[in-house]
Amino acid sequence: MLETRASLLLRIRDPKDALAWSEFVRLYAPLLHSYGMKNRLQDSDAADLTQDTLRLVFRAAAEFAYDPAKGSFRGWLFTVARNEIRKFITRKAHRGRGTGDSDMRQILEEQPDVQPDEDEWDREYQLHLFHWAAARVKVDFRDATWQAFWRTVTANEPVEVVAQELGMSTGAVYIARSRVLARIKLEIATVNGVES
Amino acid sequence: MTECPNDTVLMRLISGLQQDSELREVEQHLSKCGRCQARLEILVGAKQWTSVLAKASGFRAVPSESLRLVIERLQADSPVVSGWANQTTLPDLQPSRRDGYLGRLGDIDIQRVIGRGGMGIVFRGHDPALDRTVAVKVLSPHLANNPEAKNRFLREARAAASLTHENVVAIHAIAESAGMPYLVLQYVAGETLGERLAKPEPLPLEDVFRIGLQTARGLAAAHAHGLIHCDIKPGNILLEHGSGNALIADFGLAKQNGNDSLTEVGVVAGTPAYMSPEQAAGESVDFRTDYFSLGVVLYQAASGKLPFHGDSPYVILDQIRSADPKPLRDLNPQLPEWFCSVVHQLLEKNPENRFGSAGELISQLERQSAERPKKRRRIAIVAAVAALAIAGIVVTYFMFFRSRTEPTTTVKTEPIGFAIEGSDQLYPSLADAVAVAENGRTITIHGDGPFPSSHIRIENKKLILRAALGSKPKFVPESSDTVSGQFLSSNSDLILQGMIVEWPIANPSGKPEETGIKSVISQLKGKLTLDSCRVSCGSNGACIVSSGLDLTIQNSHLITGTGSSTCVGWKPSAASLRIENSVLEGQVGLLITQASAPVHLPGRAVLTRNTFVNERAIQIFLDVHFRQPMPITVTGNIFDNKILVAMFAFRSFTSTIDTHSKMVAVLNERITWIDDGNVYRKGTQYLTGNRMTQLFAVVPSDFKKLDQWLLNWKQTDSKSIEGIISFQTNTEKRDSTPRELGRIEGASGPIPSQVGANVTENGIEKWEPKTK
Repeated sequence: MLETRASLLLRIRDPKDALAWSEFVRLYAPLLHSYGMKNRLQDSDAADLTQDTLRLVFRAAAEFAYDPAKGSFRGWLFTVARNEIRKFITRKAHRGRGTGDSDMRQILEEQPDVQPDEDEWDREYQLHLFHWAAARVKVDFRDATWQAFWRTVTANEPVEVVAQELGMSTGAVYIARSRVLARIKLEIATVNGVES
Repeated sequence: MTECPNDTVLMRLISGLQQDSELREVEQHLSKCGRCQARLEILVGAKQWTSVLAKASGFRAVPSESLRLVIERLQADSPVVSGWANQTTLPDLQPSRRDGYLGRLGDIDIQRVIGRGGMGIVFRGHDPALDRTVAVKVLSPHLANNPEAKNRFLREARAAASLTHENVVAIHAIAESAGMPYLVLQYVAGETLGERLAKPEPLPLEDVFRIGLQTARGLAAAHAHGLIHCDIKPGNILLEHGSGNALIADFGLAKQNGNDSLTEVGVVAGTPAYMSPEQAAGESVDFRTDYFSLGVVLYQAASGKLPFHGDSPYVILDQIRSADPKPLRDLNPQLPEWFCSVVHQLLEKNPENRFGSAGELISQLERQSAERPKKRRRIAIVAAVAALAIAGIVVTYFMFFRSRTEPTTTVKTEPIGFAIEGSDQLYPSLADAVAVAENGRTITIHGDGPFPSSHIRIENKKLILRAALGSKPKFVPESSDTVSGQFLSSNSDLILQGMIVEWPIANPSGKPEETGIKSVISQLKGKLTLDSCRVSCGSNGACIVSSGLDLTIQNSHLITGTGSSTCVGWKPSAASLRIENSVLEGQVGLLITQASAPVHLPGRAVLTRNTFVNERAIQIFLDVHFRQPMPITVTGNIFDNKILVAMFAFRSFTSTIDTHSKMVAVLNERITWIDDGNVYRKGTQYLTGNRMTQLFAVVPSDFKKLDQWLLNWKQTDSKSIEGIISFQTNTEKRDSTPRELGRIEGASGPIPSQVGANVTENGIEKWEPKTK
């Protein structure tokens, strides 16, 4: 029996679902912050960018501005974040200058392009999604199982070494990590609202 | 099992639905069969993740402090619960002049809501006139029409506006827009003590001691102004991000001595759990009511529990009046005896038994916690350096750091050394203390030295290095070998307070290209703050070089020799530079090198009330990649220089600049120069005025030692440099040996009183802003 779970994006619109927003922030804030840092914002400015973008995303979600039919949420978020960072940089550059259309146009023209490396964004997106889901499912596993997964997958330690140190067979390590990965996959599916 | 299991079996295994016997068999098989191992990985889609993990680099397991704060703030501010999304609770703002702002209140551009309280909403805003971030507190719309609320709101401002202290949130302005009163306040990035206490991890004891001490200092300043806060509680104590400095906020209930008109007898105002017995009883109060509230705050911070609690405000108030709090030591046996006794003394029911004055309280806290070991001295530092007269200007200069407290009556042998706040251990050298100190600690320096030192590297930890009260520590090179080296370099946030560094950087080989320029203090990453310090270097060095984030220099004196020496070298990595109330003397005051990265924010510089005595006050390297104007805001400075601003650029950049007007155009494009109320020396006269851009001029290139600077900034293409574009205030040739300076006397032109650094016979003192 397949059950369709509502995506996180749908859930944050639901006033009764108080946890959804919290989870949404936990998932996307580190991604946006990291994106800001990669675009050479200071830590605190990247934090501001994060806040502005997430609020914008919420408003957009509330107004159904994001249309899943037109592309992935990942791609849409990238566009929003990129625009925000442009605005952010422009705003910084604009401080202390006189106002007026010509100044504004000049700044925009002078504005160097933020490198729109969407591949890089996709990888970062997946990575943050992965770590977010990993943190959520960790409690579901015994420590040895978790170690077998974490050390061989994220720390890239050889299966044999980890198996020996944990007192497991290599087969058990393979099983352990496949189970954790399957669980993580399931968790990620809840974000996008696919069938599980 | 010798045969390979099929996919169904493997899938069952992955989802945990297999039988125990099956698990054991497949496990054994998997240990040997590489093919099945690979199959399992394919079934679960492991490859997708391993490739993501291998290629991605940006993930930080531990979020930065700013990120953590923003996550908490966002989570606490759910759009559906607090309703910020529909914005109906916001006051009416004027339309924004700029993209990305919520709107405008008077002169302030409003960015976003940062807090909501019972009476008002606090925004983060930007004041374009002074180019600074501010907090704007607006009375809640539903209260704006209530005259009593309006009165009370404005009272906070009037009462506290005259108060300036590092432990009190400053009020910049009181204003009204369309009948809506608002306050422009100092913006403090950080969290409230209340927010901090709500976190699961306990507050370290040394932080509790420090917050107690700093809050007491803030209270002392308020009380000295005849101001009683009346609502000291964790939510009204702000902890500044980075430094951890505690600031008292919200003088909403504050009253002035002898003015009871709004806090009528019998009307209980305040937050029940933190009220004093006399306040709870509705009796008249004096400044000692704040001590009691501070006692409650410290009791809670140190134990996690409130001394007086109950189900209703009436029960709490009754407890406050009649019950004795549980001994603090019972709740937290790790607390030192002295601290418990201070807190319990603060919690005395009878105000007479608390502390006689804030000074008494501060000295208790200081002596026992932060400023351990115990005794401090008073040093009247008047190491006056010879005065010097140039062209009718008589300038005198005295050295630093008057002891700010009253002398103690007994004088014992002074311990000398380096203490890490919160520990008894005294280290013999700064290097030792730096090596041991954990991230976020304060190292207090006891004694004057001189302390011989070799190059100290601070890596990956934020530190505060601070002179102990009454101490005036001086650092000198350990051997002639270290003379060509550096004193301190750091790659994390660093605050230096009250230190003297005399570091005569020499260049024995005479070939700067071999060694490059050395800086006495260099900041590679993170923020650097220099407060009340004196740093001197020789003829081929820099006092401070920063390519990190925000750089702040205040109440300090930087001295260089001749050659290509400079006081401050700054490479703005999307960060701000602030120099305030300082004296910069020597060859070059401030050197700005624009970075060459294609994606780059311009950074900004704010120079306020300094005295520049240099060959060149400001020198700027332009880079061809740099496409955005950098704002430089210059107000209330004294410039005594041959050249005010000198600009250099790469050949590729300057080749098309062949006329004066083109140069001026380039300057205007790259630099947004905003000036006001400065004083410039011209010959034997001083000019006052603003808009110095009128004085743009071109002078021939005569700066010979550029390559040293280029080496320092790791630029190698030195041959492509040419051309100086400058505007200048005079052309008189003058020598640039360090000189004594200070208040200008006998100048032929009228000089406004509030310009230049505030040099008095006690050293450089903080400015007190003028109040009406």
